[in-house]
Amino acid sequence: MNVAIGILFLAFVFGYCVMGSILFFHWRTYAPPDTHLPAMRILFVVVSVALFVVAGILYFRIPWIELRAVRLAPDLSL
Amino acid sequence: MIPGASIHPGESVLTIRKHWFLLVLEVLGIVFGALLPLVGYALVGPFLPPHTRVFLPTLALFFYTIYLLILWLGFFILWTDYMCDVWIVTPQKIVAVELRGLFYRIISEFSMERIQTITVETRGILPALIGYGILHVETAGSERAFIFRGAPNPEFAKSLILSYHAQSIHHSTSSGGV
Repeated sequence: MNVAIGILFLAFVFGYCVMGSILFFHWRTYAPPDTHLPAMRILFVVVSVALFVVAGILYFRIPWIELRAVRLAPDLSL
Repeated sequence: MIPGASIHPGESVLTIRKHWFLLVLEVLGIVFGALLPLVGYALVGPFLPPHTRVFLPTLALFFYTIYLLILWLGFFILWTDYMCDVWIVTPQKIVAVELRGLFYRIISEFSMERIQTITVETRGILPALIGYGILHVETAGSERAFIFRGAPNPEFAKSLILSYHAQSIHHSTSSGGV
C-alpha cells in the first residue's frame, strides 16, 4: 500500500509540475503587464514547495506497519 | 502592451476587470473547501475506532496536504482568469480579451465608431450595493454583442465609451468621413 500511494504521490508531483509549467507559460505569454506577476510567481512556488515538503515528510512518517497490521488483523473488540 | 492585441503602452484610458468582490467570492469558496475536511475530521474524529488513531491523523494530514495543493493550483487558475479577462478602452477602440480556459483565449477589437448600443445591467442586491454589473456593447456589422460580466462601476464605463464614441463620430464627419 505504501508503494502504491508513493507512486501515486510521485505521479501527482509530476502532474502538478506540468500544470505549474502551463501556468508559467501562460503568464509569460499572455498576462497583461499590470498583473503583479513576479510576486505571484514567488508565492506560487514557495507555497507549493512548502506543501510538497510537508506532504513528503508526512508520507515518511505514516506508520505503514501499523496500518498494514490493522488491515490484516482488524480489531475485533468492537 | 497586451499580448496579441494591437495596443501600445500609454494608449489605454480605462482597464476594466471583473469587480474584486467576485474574485473574493471565488477565493472564499476555495477557503471554505479548504476548511471543510478539518470540520469533517473534527466531527467524525471522536467516533473513530481507537486502534486507527495510531496512523489515521498522519495519513489524513498527508491527503489533506495534497488536497490543499490542488486548491492552491485552483486558486492560481482563478487568479489567471481574473487577470487575463480584461477590456481596454482607448479613445479609438475597445480591446476585449476573454479567457475561457488556459488554452482558449478570444481577443476582439472594435472601433468606437462601430458602437451602436451600450446597455448596463445591474441585477440583484449585491451588484446594486457593491456597484458592479453587466456591460453589453453591440457593434455594427457584428453578429454577437460584446458582454462583460461583473464590470465595476459600469455606468462610468458606459458614459466614457459613449463620450469617445461621440468624439470619434465627430472627428470622422469633420474630416470628411462617413
